[in-house]
Amino acid sequence: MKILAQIILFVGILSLLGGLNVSANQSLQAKIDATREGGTLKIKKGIYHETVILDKSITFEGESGVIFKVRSAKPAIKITGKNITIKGIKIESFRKTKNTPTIYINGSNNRVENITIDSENTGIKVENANHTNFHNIKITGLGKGNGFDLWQSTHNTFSKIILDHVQDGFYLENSNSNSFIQNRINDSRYGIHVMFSNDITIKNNVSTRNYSGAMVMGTRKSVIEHNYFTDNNQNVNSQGLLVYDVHESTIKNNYISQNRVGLYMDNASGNSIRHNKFVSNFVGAQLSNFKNNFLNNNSFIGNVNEMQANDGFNNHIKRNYWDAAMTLDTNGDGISELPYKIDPYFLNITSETPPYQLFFQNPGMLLLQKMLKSSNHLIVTDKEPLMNNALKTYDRTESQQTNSWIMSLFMIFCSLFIIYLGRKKR
Amino acid sequence: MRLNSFKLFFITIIGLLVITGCGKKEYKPVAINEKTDKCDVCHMQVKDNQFATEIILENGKSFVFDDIGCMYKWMKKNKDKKIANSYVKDFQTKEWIELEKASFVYNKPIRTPMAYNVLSFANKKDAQTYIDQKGGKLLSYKDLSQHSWERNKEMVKEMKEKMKQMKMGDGMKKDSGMNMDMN
Repeated sequence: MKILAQIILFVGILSLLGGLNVSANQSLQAKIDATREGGTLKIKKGIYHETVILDKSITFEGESGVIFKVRSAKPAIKITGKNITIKGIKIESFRKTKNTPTIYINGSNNRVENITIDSENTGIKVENANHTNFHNIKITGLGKGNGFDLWQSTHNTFSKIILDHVQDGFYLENSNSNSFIQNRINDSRYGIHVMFSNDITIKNNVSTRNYSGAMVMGTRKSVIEHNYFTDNNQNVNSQGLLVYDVHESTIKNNYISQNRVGLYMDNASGNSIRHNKFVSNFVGAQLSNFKNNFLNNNSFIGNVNEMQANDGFNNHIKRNYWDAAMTLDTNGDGISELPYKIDPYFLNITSETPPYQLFFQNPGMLLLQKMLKSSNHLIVTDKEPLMNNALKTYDRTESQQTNSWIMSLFMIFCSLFIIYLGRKKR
Repeated sequence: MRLNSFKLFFITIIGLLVITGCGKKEYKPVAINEKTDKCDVCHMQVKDNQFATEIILENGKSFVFDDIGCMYKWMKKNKDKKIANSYVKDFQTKEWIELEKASFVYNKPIRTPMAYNVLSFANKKDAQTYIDQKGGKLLSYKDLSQHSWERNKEMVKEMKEKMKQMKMGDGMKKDSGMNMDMN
């Protein structure tokens, strides 16, 4: 009986290994070449060491357990053409040659989904690619290559993508009209890095623990909304959201919390910044060289410094909620009759001489601030600060509240029990 | 006594000369720290590569830039600041060279961090070799002050053209949604 069991086990292991070898020994490229246009090539579970080129309209689909282990100087998968779909593949790519992406894609109307990449270099290079859909992809790197690197590519959609320990999560240059929706980027340099690209949509993303949550430079008519930029404080220059050379864009309903600087804005005009929540940042918002922007209905809560600004011109800053503001509402309309002036005196003197930071909240410093007010162009004034925080709903979820109730009740019972046990018995 | 005061005077003069001679400050370039250095103009992280540049003020304060174009933008904005020396990096060796002694190549197709497309070389010969191989225009330090410092407009223009062609290629597709307002 024992011998029989051993034989069965041996045969089982042999067949398993044999199965892997069979699939690994066949040339995938030959199979791709043999697949007709519009057809589907299903790849069997196994480990593959070859690189492939997809240049015709087929679906290249891996069943669960398909792994590409590639050490070539070429991309593991190169897609060039129209109406090509790849899905269900894991790629492990660690190589000596720099600058070779794991997947290279150009062409149009392609689809890349359910892909996992472990790579030292750039995960997916998107070059001259248009109308392509990237969905449910996970890229883990070593902080050296970008997760996605876009160059002159337009009208692509990136959704449900997780990027971890890469250089820049998404880097795009000269690439208009791309959308980034429901992605998650962490422990990288810049979460989303936009360079000279217009009409970009950044929506419902979570960018945490990066040098900067998102760095948006050289753009017009872009929309950044409903994102979470939190805990981006890994570096002395970290910020939740940096916008530079940005015009006629919308930044709304974002939750910007626990960053060194929440929003850093430079060289910006005609933007609408509304309904954002700035919580517990060292500096809530830092603005310079900005004109004709609208800053309304934002909430600034628990920031060490709420705002710093210089070289502002014709900006419309009103009806924001500042938790540090001294407010007075005489007619009950929810708007304070006292304007709120924010003097960045402390930030200014510490930027010139950083050791002065030791005097933070020092009574002498506060006195100096009152006496030597910053010049008018440095003072930000909210003419109509809000009395109440309209965006309070973000704070605690119901489950958190229930948990704290359960915890309190448990502790009450525990203490009663200890009292009961410890009392003097007659 | 007279001799003594003459001696004292003489020693003082020599001493002063020595002190002033020693006191001449040298403004050496400061190494780039990739972890903490950011460009003072565009706020991007400055990588310790061939595109990094640096300005040192007379008061010893230094500013680093990720692209020579950003450095010129800074100089234009901060004319009142007293610049002691400025440095760029040699495209090949990545060693610091003084801005005034360097030669430059303006070459549109090359990608620099902020798309100003100007490369620096320690000597003219290397710059010329680069031009012979890959094309571009040779610029001297003097030429740089006349340079327009426009950010790769040509590339943007080319792209516009391409998009236009694509649009036409797509025929009468409804609302391609393209926004090519790229001033």
